Amino acid sequence: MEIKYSEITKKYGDKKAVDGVNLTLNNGVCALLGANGSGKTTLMRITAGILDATEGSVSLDGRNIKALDSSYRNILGYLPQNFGCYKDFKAKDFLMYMCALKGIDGDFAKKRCKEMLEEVGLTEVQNKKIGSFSGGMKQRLGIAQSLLNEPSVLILDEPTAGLDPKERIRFRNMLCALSKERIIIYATHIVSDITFLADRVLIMKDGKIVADGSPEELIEIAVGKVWSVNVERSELSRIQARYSVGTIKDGDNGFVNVRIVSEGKPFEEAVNVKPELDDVYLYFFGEVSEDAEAD
Amino acid sequence: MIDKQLKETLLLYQVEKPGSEQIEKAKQIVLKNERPIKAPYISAKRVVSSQIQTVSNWFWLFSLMFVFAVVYLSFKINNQLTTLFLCGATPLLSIASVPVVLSNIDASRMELEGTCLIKPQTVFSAKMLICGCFDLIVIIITLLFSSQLSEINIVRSAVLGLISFTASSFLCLGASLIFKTQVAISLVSALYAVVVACFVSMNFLSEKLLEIKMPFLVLAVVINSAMVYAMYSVAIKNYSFEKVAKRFGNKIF
Repeated sequence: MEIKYSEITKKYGDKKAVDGVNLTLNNGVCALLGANGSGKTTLMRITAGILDATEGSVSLDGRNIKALDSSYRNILGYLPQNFGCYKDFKAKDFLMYMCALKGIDGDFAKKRCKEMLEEVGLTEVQNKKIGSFSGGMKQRLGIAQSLLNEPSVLILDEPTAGLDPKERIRFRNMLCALSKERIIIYATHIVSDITFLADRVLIMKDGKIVADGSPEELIEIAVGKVWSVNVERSELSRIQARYSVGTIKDGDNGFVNVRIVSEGKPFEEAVNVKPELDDVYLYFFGEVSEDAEAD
Repeated sequence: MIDKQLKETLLLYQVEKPGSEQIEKAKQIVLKNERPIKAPYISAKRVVSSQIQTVSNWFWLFSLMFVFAVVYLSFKINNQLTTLFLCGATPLLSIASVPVVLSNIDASRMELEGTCLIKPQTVFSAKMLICGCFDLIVIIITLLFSSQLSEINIVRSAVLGLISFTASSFLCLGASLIFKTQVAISLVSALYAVVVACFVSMNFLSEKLLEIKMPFLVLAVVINSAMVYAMYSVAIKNYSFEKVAKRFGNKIF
């Protein structure tokens, strides 16, 4: 399967949330990485058919998703960033309701609901009302509903928000098993989520795709730009204003070890270190104050 | 059929005969790839039944109370007043439907439901259909019981009840396109109910109402129904995730 974006642009008034995106996605996990407001969610919604693009089109195997209409929705699974549901519903009832909307029949629907509740670890609370669920439980229920129809195109917008570390690992493993035969589009701003999961990473900034490649390829971008240096604690705020600062580790005698992402060597004593995906994120999204840049 | 075709095709390539497991796997791949052009048909009955479970129990309870209240008052008041009382009370059914219908106008829920096989507009229509049809059934049941208890003209009562009900439905739908809260929308219909009640309580006006000839009353029902349909069409046209999110400010953008 192949999803193709042709010149996708979405405007809200004068603001372009998505700006001329051209892209082709194939089977596997494609992570969409970007800061809040970078246009990830808008692109997800356009892919899910919830929003219409102002310009351009999205096609599945050469056919416009708008023309495919119900046929496209039939193979689609979607987990929005924040989803609403009837709070009086019990978890099981909610999944059965979603099955009905997804056109899944009685016995098969019951089987799928049972399987999905087990998969996300909600079997024990299946008869509890959703209104009493924690954020993480609600998120797991959202994940379960997105997989009910065994979708060929799975769109997940910030799926691990609210999940505890154990659940995050369980979710990652689940996605790994699913990714072989389908297109999974996974929007997040949590880099650790995708390091071991994504076959392809897209970095989105100001509505545009600014980087595209495998995690290894993207890490290459930051080679020679990541530095480690010990500085006095009192200098830290000045450095943070001037450079994109990553990890800060406490050291001895009032010193701290700082990881800096910078095109050039920030200090004489700075040592070049091996980059990670976090550094790539910082490279694109690290905030440096304009005054400091002018210096 | 697929099994046979697969076996025959594979024999052409003179490869080892595939096992049942391999055939099944190949079949699943073929079926999966075929899915985009095979969206299952979903009957209207299934759509409606999926929505019935989302209707609040308060709605059913209120409708039941409505039947009891009108039937009980049929004992207490004279025949003409029963008919007029029905006119004044039917807007309450529309008001009771407001929270049920509005529960679907929620961008965060629409975002989830909007990617399902059944279109959100169909879901919304089904919800309105459930409320409308159920209210009509309630009006008919009320009339049937009332007619047993007092000698009202059932046809005239039904037509007058329908005029009032369609008018209040029109007002509720119209108000839902202008106002954002359940209270404001319900108030519009409640105001209408008060006006009708005042009208009914004035003897000379209510007598005039009861004297209006049947064809004019039927015409009023038809016009009102057309207006309700027109308002429904506008509501459906405006029922998209983007429009609802913008209008109700669900902090989507």
